[in-house]
Amino acid sequence: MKHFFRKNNIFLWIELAIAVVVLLLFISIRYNASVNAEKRVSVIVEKSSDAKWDSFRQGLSDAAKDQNINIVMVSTGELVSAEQEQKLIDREIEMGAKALIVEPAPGERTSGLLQKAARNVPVLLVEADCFGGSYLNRVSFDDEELGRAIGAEVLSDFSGDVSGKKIGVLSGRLNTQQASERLSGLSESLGKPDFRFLLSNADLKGLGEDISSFGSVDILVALDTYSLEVAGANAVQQEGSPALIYGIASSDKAYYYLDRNIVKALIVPDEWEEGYQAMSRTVQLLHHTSASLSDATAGYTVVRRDNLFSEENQDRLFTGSK
Amino acid sequence: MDLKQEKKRKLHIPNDIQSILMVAFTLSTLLIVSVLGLSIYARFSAESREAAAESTDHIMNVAKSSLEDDLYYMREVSDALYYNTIRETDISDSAISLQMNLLYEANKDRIVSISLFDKNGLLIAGSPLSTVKDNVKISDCDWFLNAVQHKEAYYFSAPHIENIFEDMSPNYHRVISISRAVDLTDGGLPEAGVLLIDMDYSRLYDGFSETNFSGKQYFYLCDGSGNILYHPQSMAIIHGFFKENAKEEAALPDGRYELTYEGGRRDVTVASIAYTGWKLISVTPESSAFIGSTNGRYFLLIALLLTAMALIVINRLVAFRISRPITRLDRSVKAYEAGEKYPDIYTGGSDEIRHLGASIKKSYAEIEELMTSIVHEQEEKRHSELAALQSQINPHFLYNTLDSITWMVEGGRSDEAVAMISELARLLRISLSKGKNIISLEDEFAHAQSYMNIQKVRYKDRFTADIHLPKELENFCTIKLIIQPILENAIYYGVSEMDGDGEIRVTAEKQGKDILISVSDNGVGMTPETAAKVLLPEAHIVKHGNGVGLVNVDTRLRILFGEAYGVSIESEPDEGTRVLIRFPAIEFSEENRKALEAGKIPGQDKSAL
Repeated sequence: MKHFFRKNNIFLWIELAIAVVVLLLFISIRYNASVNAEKRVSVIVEKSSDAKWDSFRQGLSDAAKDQNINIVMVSTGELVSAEQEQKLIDREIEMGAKALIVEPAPGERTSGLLQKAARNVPVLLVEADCFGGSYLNRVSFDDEELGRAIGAEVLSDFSGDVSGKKIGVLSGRLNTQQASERLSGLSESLGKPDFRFLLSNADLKGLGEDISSFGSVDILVALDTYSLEVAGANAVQQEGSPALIYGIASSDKAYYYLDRNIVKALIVPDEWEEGYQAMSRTVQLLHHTSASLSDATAGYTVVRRDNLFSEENQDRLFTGSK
Repeated sequence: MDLKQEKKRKLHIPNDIQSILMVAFTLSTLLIVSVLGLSIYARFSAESREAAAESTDHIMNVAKSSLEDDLYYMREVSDALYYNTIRETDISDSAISLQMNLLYEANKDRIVSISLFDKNGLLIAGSPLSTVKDNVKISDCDWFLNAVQHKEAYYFSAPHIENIFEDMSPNYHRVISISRAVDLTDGGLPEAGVLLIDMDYSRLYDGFSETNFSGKQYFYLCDGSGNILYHPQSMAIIHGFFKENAKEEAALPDGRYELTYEGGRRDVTVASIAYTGWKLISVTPESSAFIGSTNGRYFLLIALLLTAMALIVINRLVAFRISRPITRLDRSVKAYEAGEKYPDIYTGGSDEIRHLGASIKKSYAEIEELMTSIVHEQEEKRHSELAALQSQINPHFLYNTLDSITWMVEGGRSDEAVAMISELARLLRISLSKGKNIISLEDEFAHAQSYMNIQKVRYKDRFTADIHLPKELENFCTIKLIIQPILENAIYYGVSEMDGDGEIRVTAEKQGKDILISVSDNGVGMTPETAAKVLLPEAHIVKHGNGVGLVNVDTRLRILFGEAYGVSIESEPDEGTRVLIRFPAIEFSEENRKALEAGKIPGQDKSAL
């Protein structure tokens, strides 16, 4: 038998090389299988059943196509605390979530709990433009830019000068980072006027007055979709609005008010893009295809009545109307 | 080792038969496996892609049928309303509105609105809504203009958000508008108008989404110019995250095509939608087929590599099996060449190897035999030459001769003494011949003459000797000391007791190419049987001195000249004996002498041993 192998070392090396290649191929197949196995991605956002998230949900779904991802939109109401959010995160991880897409709850402790969760599964943040102290990947809007954009639309209707005008700011919660940044951008673009602050959510106590007093302003700027809808509904109820209404919003109702000329201009954050980018980055984190990803900023569209139904805007805005 | 072999040795390229067989088998195996693998891959790939494309086509055909059915149904509704009501009724009649409402209610799962406009774009009747938005100019709408421009034809718009009518609720519908020019009756007068039916696109969209694939295959809808009407990734396309080859594919006639887009191959099937000019296009990327997928290709590669591995092992076994007998034969030959004491040449394996082994074994045996024979002959030659040499200085003969010279001198017969001394000197000189074995016949006969002259004195002329060499034979080669031993025998065994009547004759003649020397005596003779035995090696009996005699002479002649030459004896009891010496006639020259001393016969290719 030794004669059989004598002087045939080169062929043993060839056999060994082939065996190594076969082994590597097997490992690749196994790796591909594990990579391509269905993965659960849990999405935790405030008031998940709100129509506001329709486009976002569609974006998530479009990005998850061909990736074998099972998207679970966790049913939530108002997220008021980090502890509340932590319970949801822990439950989802327990149920086998391979990644999380999370809208951070307000509060200082949220950062810590998200960092802790990120040790177990990849975590991607949405609607967290100003979420400080986190090393997690984020997809969000440039809220300050949104504020500046709506301010620019206001200025364009007033020939660039709103001095002497009473400007009301309508928001659901003025104490959120999002509202704060948008307000900052708006203020900057309008030349830092004095605002009258109004709350669209009467249940919350805050700096502002009730929405019903908005008639005393000349210009009303809504900083979020809910606020804009409240302003529009109010205007419809009062059969007209003495104030010119502008807003940062994305919903069919908001478009309806624009269409009926109740709202003058809208800054529509591209929720679909936010969802798409969030899921795309989450897929990359799951596949470890990027050691670190840069944060992404979703865009927005400036919409007025005359371009509401343009070919491009029809497709971008009315994602729920298929 | 030639240059090619040397090069192979330097490059460490194995040149043994097993390695050559292995390389040949392995290369042919790899070639076959590669060709087979590629063929299988190509065939399977084509089949797989065909299957995937057919599957996609089937799904697409279902979607196509569904869409065409819906479009056809809308046409039917439009026809029903137009032909049954609008054309037959004055526009002032509320029957049009009533019929519209009925149709709408019956089809509200498919229809968003039905409306009738006059030639100027003013609303005549509409269901469910009947108030046009103040910022919408109907006569500028594409569906209106196209309907007016293409009478007798239906115009199908691309899916869009319906924004004609005022709605108290924020409900927006994406619709496909089907418009057509119609003939109205207004106060009895014919007028032109446009009938619009907005078909609910969401129903179609949901249907498409349900039937469309969840994997990499998909289908999409576009108009004849490549403007996308439905695509599962429409939002991604708008945002630039996804690209589609709609423009190129929409321009293709119906059928299946293999295209390359964005670096990937894909099968595309194009099908036209009736009435509209739209195209339903299915896309099956190559990677969606199993064999086109990475894992599919890996599996095939693994199968081929395992096959190659198995074949290489088998090749090695086969090569080993074939080459082993040759290798064993080679090893046994090398052992023989290395001088191993009892090498056994391998004679197994296939018929050819067995034959080779047997032949080599036989050859080696013959070589051994020849070698033994050579050694034996060399030894015999040496022995004979030694013996001959010894005879040159036979002490008895010398003593006796010197004795004779002494008593001659003492007896005052100095002349006879001088003569005997001269003869002795000549005898010794020729015997020695400066160590040469080959001398001329003249010298050999002179030696014989001297010998006989001395012996006649010693034997007191008891016999006569007649030694005659023809002049023409003097200058031929001969081995020295071939006559004297025969004369010695002739004296001792033939004539020594004959008291003066003994006669010894030595002659030479040339017979053909041979020299024949005859030494005859009229002595006691011997029987033919005895004569035959005399030349046998066993007859090598030491008598009267050196014991070299006839056998020695015969052996030396045969060793040098071959078996055809040597000594022969003719004898009759009481008649005498004749000894014949035969050897080739070779002229005596220094060159010939040297050749013979070296064992070569001048004029012959082979050398004498």
